[in-house]
Amino acid sequence: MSIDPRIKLLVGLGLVAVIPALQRLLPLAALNLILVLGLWSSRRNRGLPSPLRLGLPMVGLVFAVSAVSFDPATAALASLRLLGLLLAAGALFQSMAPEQFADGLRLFHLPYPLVFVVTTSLRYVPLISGRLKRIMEAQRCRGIDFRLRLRNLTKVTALLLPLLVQSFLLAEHLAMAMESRGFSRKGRSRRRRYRIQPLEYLLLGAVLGALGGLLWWDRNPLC
Amino acid sequence: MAPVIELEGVSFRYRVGSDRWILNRLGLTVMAGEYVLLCGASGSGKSTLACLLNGLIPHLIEGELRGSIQVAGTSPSACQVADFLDRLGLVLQHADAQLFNSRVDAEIAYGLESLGRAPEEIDERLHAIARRFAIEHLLERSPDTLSGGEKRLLALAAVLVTGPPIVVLDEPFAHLDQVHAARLCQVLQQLHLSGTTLVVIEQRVEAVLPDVDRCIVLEGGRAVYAGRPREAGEMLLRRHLIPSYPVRRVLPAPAGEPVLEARGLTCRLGGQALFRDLSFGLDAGRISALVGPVGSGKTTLIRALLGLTPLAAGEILLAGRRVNGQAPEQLAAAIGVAFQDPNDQFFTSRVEDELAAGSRALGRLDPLWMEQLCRRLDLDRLATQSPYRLSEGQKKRLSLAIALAARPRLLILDEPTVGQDGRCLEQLAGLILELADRGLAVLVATHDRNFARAVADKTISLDSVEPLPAEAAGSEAAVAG
Repeated sequence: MSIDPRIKLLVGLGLVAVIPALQRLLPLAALNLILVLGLWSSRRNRGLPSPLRLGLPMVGLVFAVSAVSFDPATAALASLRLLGLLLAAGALFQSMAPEQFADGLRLFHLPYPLVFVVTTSLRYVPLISGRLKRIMEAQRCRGIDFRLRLRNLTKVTALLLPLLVQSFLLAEHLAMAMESRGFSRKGRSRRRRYRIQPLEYLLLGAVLGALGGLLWWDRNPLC
Repeated sequence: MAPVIELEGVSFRYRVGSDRWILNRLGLTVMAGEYVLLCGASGSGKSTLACLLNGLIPHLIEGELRGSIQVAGTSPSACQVADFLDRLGLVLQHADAQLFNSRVDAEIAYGLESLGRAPEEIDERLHAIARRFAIEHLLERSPDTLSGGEKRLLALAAVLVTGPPIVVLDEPFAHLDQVHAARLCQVLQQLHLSGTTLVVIEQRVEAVLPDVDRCIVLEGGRAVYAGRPREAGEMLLRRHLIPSYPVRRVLPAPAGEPVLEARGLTCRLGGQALFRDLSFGLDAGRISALVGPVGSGKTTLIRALLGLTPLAAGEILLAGRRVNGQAPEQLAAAIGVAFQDPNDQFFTSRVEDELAAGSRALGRLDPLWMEQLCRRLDLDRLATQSPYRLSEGQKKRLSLAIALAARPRLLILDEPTVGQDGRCLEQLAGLILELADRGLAVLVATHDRNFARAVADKTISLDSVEPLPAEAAGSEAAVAG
């Protein structure tokens, strides 16, 4: 069953609101576990989604810094909150293509140019990271060493400068292509029509109810 | 037939006050239903003209514009680019920027959504165009996962789906192998027969010349020739728009150990063998062409030789020493490589610094050799210029100089012909032959079979779709399993 993007966005919004509000380890860990199980069941053999893969080192860093600055319990809480947000983002983008995400935002009456900028940025992240890899390989093949050494710190310009120039060029070409295909034309239509089904309202109610229950459990500890 | 594109005394320069006019009092007329080839050397104003036709100039790209332009009875300067969508379709040179949706079907539907078409009509036209281009099986894929040829077809389908009466294509054949080029030619022929006005801007003149009604040659921003393609051949050769290569050398069989020897190479990508049990040798003073269609594994083989891609089986010997598993930095002194896009390497503000960066990192900086290289590759006058301000041909020469800076024993060139005009191709062929005469082993990966024929002493074929003729294939053909 294909779920309306508005429902997915509202569930995502609910998660983003509840995760930072949880103040106890157990409810937070339970929510993280549910999200991990959900992601795992939908991505068997496909590894971690990229927001999570990129964010995991940050979770470790937050734990380490908080443990040194405060105490282990605060560190665990902070890192679990960050992990929860990353899992929620991973689940959201895993469940909908950028076009569906854009359709959802447009159905909430966000201006099209803004929606397009958000979704196109998502689309170009892998392209830019591919370019960075290509630049790094080209530079390594001419003998420029990028291994983690203090003396190699200045060589990062050999990566960043070509990437910056190529990103500007890409942005210019993208603007030309978008305009040539009618980006700023008025009266744009949508290929997909969406209509929220009663079952989807029920699903949304159940998820928001469960999140409310989690918040109640967080504030009224039973165990 | 009525004219659909009319230019009268059109001049354009990117910077007001600059003395370089990209288009210089250009006059041009294209009739409805005509199929026109627009060619010219790099920098002759071809792409600038394409941007003028749908209003990208002056609406998005600033500069000084003079003269009169009429496209489908309207001046592009007078209405917005987006409003020109149903009158003229422009297929741009850079497919990566042109494909900005996350799925092929969304990409094709985008133009129809811009026109405000109903969902049923969008679906109907989307599937019709996908059938016409034989890309129905790709509809649910991401454009990122497509091959260069498939991307080009998708870019064209995404523009044609709106049914514009005029279509302008900027270098559509640049990244295509023979199979995809033939398919694109067929699509363009069908379009022409259906009454669409076609303007194809192309450096690979031979690919499209036999099919067109008229050939227009730009030089210095002016049309210096407009006539039948059959009569244009000699003039195109004279102006070096069709390259004329030097006569091939006849060489005795190589003596001694090869500079690089590959034994039984197998490489897998996503569980599938891209090539299997591939063996060949690259000898000093010889040029080998690595040929095969797009996706046959040419770039992967180069990456494997450079230590960038692990091999599933086989060994690589460099001057008799096994180098499997060595990092690219360790091989850089012995193997020089010029990748397809020279912009991947430039990071300094001067050509001379760019040239020295690699050899300095390897501790092999030789100022005298740098000077000789600059002189031979015509870079000495450009030494203090920014690499990003060079023309495409100059960038290619600089990337070749970078590859040679550390005095390697083997030079690898990945698709050196892409985006180069005839004169640049002739220069490039001459340079490669000269380098081989000086004792360098050269490997050229290319889908340009004419270029391969012109320079190669032997071929390494990754596909038997269309092998080079025996007389051109040279002394030895490699084994591709």
